[in-house]
Amino acid sequence: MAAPELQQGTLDLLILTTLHLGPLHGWAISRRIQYQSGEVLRVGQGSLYPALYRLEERGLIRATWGISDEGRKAKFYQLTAAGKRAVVRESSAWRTYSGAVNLVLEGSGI
Amino acid sequence: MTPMRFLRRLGALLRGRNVDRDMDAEMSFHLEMEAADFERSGLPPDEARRRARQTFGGVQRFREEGRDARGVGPARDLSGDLRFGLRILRRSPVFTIVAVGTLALGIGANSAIFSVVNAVLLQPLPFPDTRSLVSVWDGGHSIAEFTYIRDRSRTLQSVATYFPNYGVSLSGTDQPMRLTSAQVSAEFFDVLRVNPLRGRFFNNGEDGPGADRVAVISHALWRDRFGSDPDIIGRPIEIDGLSRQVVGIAPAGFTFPSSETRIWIPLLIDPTGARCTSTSPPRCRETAVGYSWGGYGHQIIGRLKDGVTTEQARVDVHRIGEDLQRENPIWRPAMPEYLAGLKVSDLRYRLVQDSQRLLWVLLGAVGLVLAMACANVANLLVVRGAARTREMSIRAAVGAGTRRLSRQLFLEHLLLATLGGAAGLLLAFILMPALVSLLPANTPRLDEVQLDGWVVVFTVVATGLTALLSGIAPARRLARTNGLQAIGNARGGIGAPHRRLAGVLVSAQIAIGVMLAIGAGLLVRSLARIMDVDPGFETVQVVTAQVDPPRARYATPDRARDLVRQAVERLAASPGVVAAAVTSQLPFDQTNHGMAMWIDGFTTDPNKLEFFELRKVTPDFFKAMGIAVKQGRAFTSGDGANGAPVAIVSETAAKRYWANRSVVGGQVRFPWPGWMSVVGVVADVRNNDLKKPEVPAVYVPFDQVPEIPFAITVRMSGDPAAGTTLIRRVMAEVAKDTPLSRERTMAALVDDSVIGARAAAVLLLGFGALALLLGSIGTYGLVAYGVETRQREFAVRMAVGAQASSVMHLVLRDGARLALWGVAIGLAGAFILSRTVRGLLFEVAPNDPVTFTAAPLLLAVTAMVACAIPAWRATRVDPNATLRRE
Repeated sequence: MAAPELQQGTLDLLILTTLHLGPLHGWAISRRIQYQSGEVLRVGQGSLYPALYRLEERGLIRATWGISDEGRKAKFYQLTAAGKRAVVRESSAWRTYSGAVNLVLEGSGI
Repeated sequence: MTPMRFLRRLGALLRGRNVDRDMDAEMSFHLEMEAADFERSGLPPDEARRRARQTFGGVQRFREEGRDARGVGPARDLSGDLRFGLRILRRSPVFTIVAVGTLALGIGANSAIFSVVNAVLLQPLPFPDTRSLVSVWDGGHSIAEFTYIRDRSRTLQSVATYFPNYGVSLSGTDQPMRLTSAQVSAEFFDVLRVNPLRGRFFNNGEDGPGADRVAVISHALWRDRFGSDPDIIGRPIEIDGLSRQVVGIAPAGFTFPSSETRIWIPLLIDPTGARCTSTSPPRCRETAVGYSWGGYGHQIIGRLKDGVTTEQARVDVHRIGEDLQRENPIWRPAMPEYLAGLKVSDLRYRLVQDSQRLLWVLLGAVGLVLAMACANVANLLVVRGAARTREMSIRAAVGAGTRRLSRQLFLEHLLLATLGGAAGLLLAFILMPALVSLLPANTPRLDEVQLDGWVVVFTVVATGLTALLSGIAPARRLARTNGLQAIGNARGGIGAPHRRLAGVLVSAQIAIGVMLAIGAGLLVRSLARIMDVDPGFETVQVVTAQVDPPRARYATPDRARDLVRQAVERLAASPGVVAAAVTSQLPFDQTNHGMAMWIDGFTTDPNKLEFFELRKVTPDFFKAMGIAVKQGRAFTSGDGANGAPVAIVSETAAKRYWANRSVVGGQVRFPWPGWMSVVGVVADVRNNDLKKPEVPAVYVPFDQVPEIPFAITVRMSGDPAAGTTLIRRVMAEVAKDTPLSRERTMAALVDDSVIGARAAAVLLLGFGALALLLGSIGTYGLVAYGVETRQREFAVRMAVGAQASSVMHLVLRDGARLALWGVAIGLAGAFILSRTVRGLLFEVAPNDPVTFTAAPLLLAVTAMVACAIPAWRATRVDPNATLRRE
């Protein structure tokens, strides 16, 4: 099955949710999403980094240079206070939305 | 944008380079992690790195998208694009020079014309609160009429009157000089609300008899003649032989009412003058002539009361006019059209009224030139764009977005336009003095023309517009190029869409060229018609000079007669002189000496005035000027102070007032008693303007009504330049303290009168020539480029047996189609636009068939020649060589 194209808003939510557990660098974020989604969602760098920069721009995440588990210099992203508020708000909105879509799909009997 | 975000973005921009380094570091970290991952899954290190890069995708795209996401993209890219643009322009210097040069010509010409339009028409007058300044009663009036307005107006808070361009002599020093003065009523400076640089302006009552021995000098006179001496205030100077005390110096640049004004002296407002009515004793009416009721050369300015509109003021003035008619049913108020002439208009409008049509037409024409320059540069860009299709396709393929490419191209055009604009501004700076000297000297406010902030703003706007107009279509076309198709097309020839756009641009250029050529043609033909008008006198051999003896010293008629007799006798006796004479007014000296006359057997209502151009002349005037005597005789020495009063009339006067009667022996008189017998009829002469029909003229012997100042006219047998020297020598002998001015030949005087028409014709001719040049370059460039890219097609055609003539025909047909479209559109445009120049034309219809045939023909022929050269070259294609090269 081909990896579904992620909508920009969805990707933002996934990134924020991933970072909710703690600071991560870009590569780890893409890995985490891929793993958590059961290898269904693959986030290419082409969408990941622009999304990260956008979120940083919006003040939802903050980047700092640190040392990775492998002992290398890497850029870590973490949620800001605004980011934390946004995760809560956005994820509940998403649940409502996806629940509603599911109800419609199940009701259709396809 | 919130302030925080703005700050962050600003920070990102300032850290621009760091951001890039940051992203690069992040990217390489990502790549390493990815490679390490691949390695763990069993790939050799080299292969793992390769795979990682493959998975990652375009590095360039990563950078661009990253920057876009950070919002630093546009600004960061901007400087990069700018640098890139400069590099591109440097790489093709010929294109750059031609494009920048074309734009510089277009923009420069526009800025130069605009600087004049701005100073003359748009800028407020250099006085405070100019909105409430009005000109009352356009077209000159008498002092009596002024006192009526002053005393009875309800809408004006202050009113003043003045007599502009009154020539006076500044004598009493080693070097007498003629000055242009303005005679002004005491309120003059108050109405204008200007403050003196030093001293004071006129006090109330200083325009009354006995109190008027004062003067205000201009800043220029103070500087040039008195060495900026601050002690000049309070000192006497001799004006017209009268001692006047300098009471003030006007601020620098203040020369109202005309740019030549150097001194202001009080205008005598005699309160008794206004009281003469039809029932007054004759004495009052006689002396009032030329003073209170008769002198119509005065202008009135006023300041509206707060909240009053010019229309309300007009109604007010109209009411006063009715009072005037009722109380003084004589002279001008008695004329039926009197009330209709009562106007109140914005002072600025009134001042520039006569010049504005010419200036607007020039601005319009020069705007067309700029449009043409835009089309030309757009054309160059399209042709060049075709050559750059591959470059664009490649850039698009490596990840540059369409918007980015459009922006890059637009930036290049903006760069071109900016260079053109800067060069244009420089050009305008260089052209401005020439332009100002080309315009008629009587154009108001010419001395205010300068390259100021407004001109710079105009240039910047024009430049931006130019970039937009010339750049947008080619840029969009180019950036939308289909990548694959273009790369595949290895020859990179000019594609159909490009050619169509370029064709439209060439047609547009030809259309504009046709419009400009028609405009130029109309004005040139009009100028030729004007120059064809026979002024009625000899021009080349006649030398003239204005003589302004100090009036006070020649106050008695005998003194004036003596001076003139001596001057004429000495001049006539000098070698090289055919005839010498004196006249109170020279034709074409741009003054009017209209006089109301009564004609025996014609005038029945003494209040209905017949106006004549009056000249007081010495006997040899007609001989000196070469004016033919048609009937009767010229004046002789017998028509002196003690001779019977005589007069000579012009042919127009004879026809109008003595139809079916004998002129010679007829009687005319001034509005005061004393008939004069008409002894002769002379040929008509034009006065001041070749375009205006003759008005009736009357000549009287100088000795019978002597007048100061006067003009000398000498007809030379040889070199006219010797005449000027001669006049100077003779006048120095007979009147040492008398300044001479306007030492010109009659030819030069007549020539001065057509300066406006000539300026319009010359400038439009220049614009037309420029348009023709640009148009031919544009047409030639497009056709030549088309031929070059179609070489292979032509080679194939000729290889399979096509004649050279049919290839030529092919190319010419394309060119002809473009030219035809252009000519058709241009003709239609010219038909609509030519109405705007109607007011500038003389005896040439705005849709003059000759011009409307010749100008498009010229453009069409030029376009065809521009096509023919590349077409001929197309036939020289060697099929073998061309095809082998492929």
